[in-house]
Amino acid sequence: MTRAIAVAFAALLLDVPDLAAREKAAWLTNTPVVLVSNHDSMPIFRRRVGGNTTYQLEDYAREHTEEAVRKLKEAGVTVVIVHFYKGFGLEAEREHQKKALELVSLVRKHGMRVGVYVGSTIAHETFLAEKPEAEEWFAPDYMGRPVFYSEQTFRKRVYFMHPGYREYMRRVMRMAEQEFHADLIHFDNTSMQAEPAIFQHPMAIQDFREFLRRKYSASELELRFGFAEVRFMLPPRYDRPLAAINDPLFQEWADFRCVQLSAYYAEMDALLRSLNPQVAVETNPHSGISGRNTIWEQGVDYPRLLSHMDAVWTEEGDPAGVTPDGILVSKIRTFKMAAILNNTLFVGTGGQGGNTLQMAESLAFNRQSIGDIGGLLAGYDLPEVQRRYLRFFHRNFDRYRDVENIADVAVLHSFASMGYNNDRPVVSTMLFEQALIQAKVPFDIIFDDHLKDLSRYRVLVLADQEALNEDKLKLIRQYVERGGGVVATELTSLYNEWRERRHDFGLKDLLGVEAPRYQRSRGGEQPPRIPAARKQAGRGRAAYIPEVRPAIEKPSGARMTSQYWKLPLNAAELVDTVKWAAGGQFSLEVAGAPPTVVAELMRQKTGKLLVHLINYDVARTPVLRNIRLTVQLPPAARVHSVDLITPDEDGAQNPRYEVTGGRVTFTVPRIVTYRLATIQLEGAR
Amino acid sequence: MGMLLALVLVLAGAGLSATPAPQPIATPEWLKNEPLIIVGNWDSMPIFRRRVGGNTVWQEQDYRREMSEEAVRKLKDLGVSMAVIHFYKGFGLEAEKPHIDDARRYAALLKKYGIRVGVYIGSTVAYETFLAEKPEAEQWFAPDYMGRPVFYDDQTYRKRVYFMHPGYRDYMKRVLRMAIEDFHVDEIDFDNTSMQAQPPIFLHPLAIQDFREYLSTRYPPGTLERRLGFRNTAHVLPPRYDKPLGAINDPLFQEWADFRCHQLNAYYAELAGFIRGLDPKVAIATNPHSGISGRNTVWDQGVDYPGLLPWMDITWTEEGNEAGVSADGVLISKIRTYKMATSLGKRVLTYTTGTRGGKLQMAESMAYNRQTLGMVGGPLAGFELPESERAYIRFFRDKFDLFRDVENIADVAVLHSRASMGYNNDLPWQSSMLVEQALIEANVPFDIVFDEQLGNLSRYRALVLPDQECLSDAQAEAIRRYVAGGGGLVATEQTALYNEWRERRRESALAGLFRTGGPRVIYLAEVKPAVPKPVSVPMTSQYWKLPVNWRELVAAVKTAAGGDLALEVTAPPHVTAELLEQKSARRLSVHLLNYASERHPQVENAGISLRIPPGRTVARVELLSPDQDNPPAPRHELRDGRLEVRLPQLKTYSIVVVTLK
Repeated sequence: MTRAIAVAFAALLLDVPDLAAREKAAWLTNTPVVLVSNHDSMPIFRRRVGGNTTYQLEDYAREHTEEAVRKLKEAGVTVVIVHFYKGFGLEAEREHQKKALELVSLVRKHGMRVGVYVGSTIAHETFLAEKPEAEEWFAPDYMGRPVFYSEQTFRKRVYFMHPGYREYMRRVMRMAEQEFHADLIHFDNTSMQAEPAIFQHPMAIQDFREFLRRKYSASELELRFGFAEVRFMLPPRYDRPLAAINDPLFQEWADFRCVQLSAYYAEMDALLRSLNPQVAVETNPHSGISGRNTIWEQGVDYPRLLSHMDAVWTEEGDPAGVTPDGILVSKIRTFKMAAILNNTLFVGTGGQGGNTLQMAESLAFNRQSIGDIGGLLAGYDLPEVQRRYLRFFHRNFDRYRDVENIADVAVLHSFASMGYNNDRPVVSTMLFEQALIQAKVPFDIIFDDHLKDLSRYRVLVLADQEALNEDKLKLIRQYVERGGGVVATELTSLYNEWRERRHDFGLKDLLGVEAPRYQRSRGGEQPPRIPAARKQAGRGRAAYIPEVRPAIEKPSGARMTSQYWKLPLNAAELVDTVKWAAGGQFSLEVAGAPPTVVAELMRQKTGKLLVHLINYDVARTPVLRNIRLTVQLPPAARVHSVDLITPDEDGAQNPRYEVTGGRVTFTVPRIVTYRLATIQLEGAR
Repeated sequence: MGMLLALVLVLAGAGLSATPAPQPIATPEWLKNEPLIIVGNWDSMPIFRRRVGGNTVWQEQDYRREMSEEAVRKLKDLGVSMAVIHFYKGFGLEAEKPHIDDARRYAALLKKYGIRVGVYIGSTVAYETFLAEKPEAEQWFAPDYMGRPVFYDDQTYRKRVYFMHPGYRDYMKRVLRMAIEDFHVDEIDFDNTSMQAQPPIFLHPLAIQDFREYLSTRYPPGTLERRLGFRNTAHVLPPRYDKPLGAINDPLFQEWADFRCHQLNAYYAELAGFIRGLDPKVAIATNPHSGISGRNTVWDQGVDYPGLLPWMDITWTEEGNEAGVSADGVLISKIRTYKMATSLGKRVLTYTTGTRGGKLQMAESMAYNRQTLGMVGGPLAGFELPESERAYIRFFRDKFDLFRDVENIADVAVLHSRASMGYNNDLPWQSSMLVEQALIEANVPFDIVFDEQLGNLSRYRALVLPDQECLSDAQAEAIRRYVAGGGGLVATEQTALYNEWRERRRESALAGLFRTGGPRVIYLAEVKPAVPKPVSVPMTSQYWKLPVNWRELVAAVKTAAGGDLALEVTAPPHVTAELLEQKSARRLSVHLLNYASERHPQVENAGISLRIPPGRTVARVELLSPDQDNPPAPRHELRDGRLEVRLPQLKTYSIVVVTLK
């Protein structure tokens, strides 16, 4: 379902305006975002959760001092997310909120932006004293087990669409805006709100039936389920590992959970924007694009959810680096997802758990943000090497703002392909992206709606995007007819969006290959054993690769997380095919760099091209030399200058460059962790 | 448990006390006289396919095509003798009406072409539609078990019911009445039998009441006190327990397993009586899935084959175990299941073509089954079946005279005692399956027998008790009588060391026999597995590698049998043989199968030695095979009362037919 339909459905249940024209909060684009936060430091939480230090209260008090705040300012922090509402209840948390309010004054006094933390769970032991009817909001036991947060049994989880809960949260929002005047609302635990367990709530069951009735006519219901009766439908209670998700009710239920989560945040966003049009809204669905099927597991469909957000947090793990067995681990996919959806990514990069490599990743792939660098006491304990990165970011902020990446390639994450199968689509997509990352091919991650306009890309990659409807196939054909390239793998287009198997590939005409003979199999179908194929298709090109060959097999039903991201065995074939489909050249070509160096190409309307280079294997290879970059220039553009800067070392360099055939080439003599090459243009169109 | 006791217990069963005692059913004549070659399409109707998902876009086109006259004609041409068609999946008779109407037309078409009609009956309830039609069905459903919903496989919308609920039984009779009176079916095909009496089902409140009543009916108070330690069963609850089990010692667990078997038997006894009351010619099939495949069906599923199959003509198996030899040299077969069914006078249906089949599966069914080639595909098989498999069907039909009215000749009986196998998931299973594996691979003619047959073992030369640890005093006595009457005995490990409640004796009840039974009574301390089975897991085919001491086992069995087996085969261990007799035709036939035909497409110079019954001589020896038209007659000679035959070659399947005079 498209975002428009999601919002339309939400509007049926709620009084939600259409947010199609949502603008990102302006301050977020104008500010170098350097975050700190102290969501969890207030005593009511720390005492209840236990396992504290004896000096925790001391630290809590210190966090609220002017000295601590001043030191944050001096370190370069620009946004402070303060504790505000954890879920014990507004009455129970009143004392801490007073303290938070004092902190907010200090933060503002020192010219920093204020974000407030909003939890999604309910600490029932205090909350029920204040709001006894909240009992009705709680998710019932699931599979005979209570539904709580992590190992914190006192934090119950709620069906967030319960009117009573939403009313309460609106009260919290009003307080955040009317009393705290927050610049940013940080919603936490989004990944858990729409998990299957939550949707066993009796009201969720009713809403689900209503959703089905509204989504489908009686005859469509019959086509979908075999019958039109939805009165007795129940959400599945099922927790076994799933490979392909074929059951139509499972599929609809996943979709419904995504719709409801988006509807909830649409409502909150609308309320917040009506209270303060400049407030930034941010949420934490934890996973990002990390190989987890967030649609099924969490009811998180990023394109839908982030249409109501300015920023998104990730806690996926995946710290930048290269593992002992040679896997380049990164959050690049998540950064790319957030960027295409016009969101800023919030992520821990500094402090104890961070390092300059993670900061560099955020500088290169994020939008105007270096991430979260620690707690409220970061001003005291931030290592000098990280402070140096912060200074670099502030000093060169004009090279990070208002940027747009240049991508030759778009890799599609189709909702039905990725949401209704935990195996091959995610394996092949993650590995294809890994090949592009390590080959430094400029690419974007795109979603279904982006198929409507692919004009900025030379190639569309469909890595086992198996479940595509006729409309999408038509858009893909049109793209190729207009000169685009397409590279498809495995079972791409073999199923429709209900995961019904077609006679043959939906894109057979384009790809010129035939699907294997159909055989019903629990283990899922295998791709055809045929050679790869390339063909000219009208003005465009189409290529088919029968398999993305994993170096490390992911077990069926398991998540495609970073331990399986080792470069696929046929990475060279994948990249070579994409290059052919792109017409033989990419906008950025990097020579002399190992596959553990990555690059990102950006442009600014002010006439700059920027190439970010990161050495992911800096722990083992502290210095790399003589990396040669060739960058496609915009039509009629001339190069005014090229410079190289880095937070790792002092001073800028101006390498010699040459321009041939509309492409500029120069050499980066040395890179430690991160280097930024800036090409200043003249006469660009 | 003898048949009489079974009937008594059926009578005493919950909800059945007012029902006249049904009689174990006799096989309908047509089933004895016709080759059974079936196709099936129980899952193709749109209401099911759409709801289950994962379909093709042409699925409904196929559904229509399946029911076309052309498809039916092609089935007839193929040699199909019965089609099991969709009828009642569990969505409700109203919800399924359009498909039932389709099925009715389809049945008429099949009959027009002389193809018998079976109808599929599901055991689950697709509540999303069913409740609209029958709201009170909510009361039939099994409650959550261990906090988890009880549904079929991964199809969460198919709820499972306590089948002894009177409302459910009434509904099922309505379904059956429609099948018989409206469709005039030849066969009723019950599905999912293995799941009906699984532990979660029996947490239904009515099942709990029935269990308490069962206990108090089964045992007088004094015996109850000996059994459970107390007399009052009013507060007994079925176990909710899902940890791995080795030996099952808890008396309530044991009784609960018995009770579940008993209720399942009672249910099918009731339905069999009902069906036969409407039409005595209707054959009845059920699908307990597992067969004899190493799973403790008594505990896991409430399936006790000797108790269940008297109410059936046919049993399905979906155990897997597709015939062949695994990469690590394990000969895999369904031979045990075929032997179990044969021993109980029944037929087996299983998939014999397609991805789960092939010529070898068809051969296995021809050799070890009775008049049955199994299921050769769906209703479109007439369009799709490869020529090599069509040739097997033709062979079966052309030579049907060879397959009807047969009886196997077995020198050896291997006992599966109910208490031994039902109350222990480990050694009894491991040793029984491995002893049988040794007999299969050494081509020793054997049967699998059950408690009920202990009183009549006269046709066997030897009885094998592989760790049959739980034998009652009466059973031990029956075995002593058998030995005293000239039978041989091989026992292993802890045989008869426990009584039927798994109470340990001071020594085996057969210890005296072991000491003084003579040279044809042999006790072996261990069946040594080549691949030991982990504790409490089913003894499935990955553990069937020939036991380390298989030669010792086979030698002991031969000695116990008196050293002169009805059949001896000289061939690699991946060749198996079954010896059948047609008394009326004075014919013996030896069916030879090459289980490694994929890797070794041809076995040369296999030899068989056949005991010729006293007073008979050989009139003719023929060699038949679906792999070869008119194979040459094999070399043979009669020597010392035995016929020695040499086969020039065996591909997948050959039959040596010996006509006697």
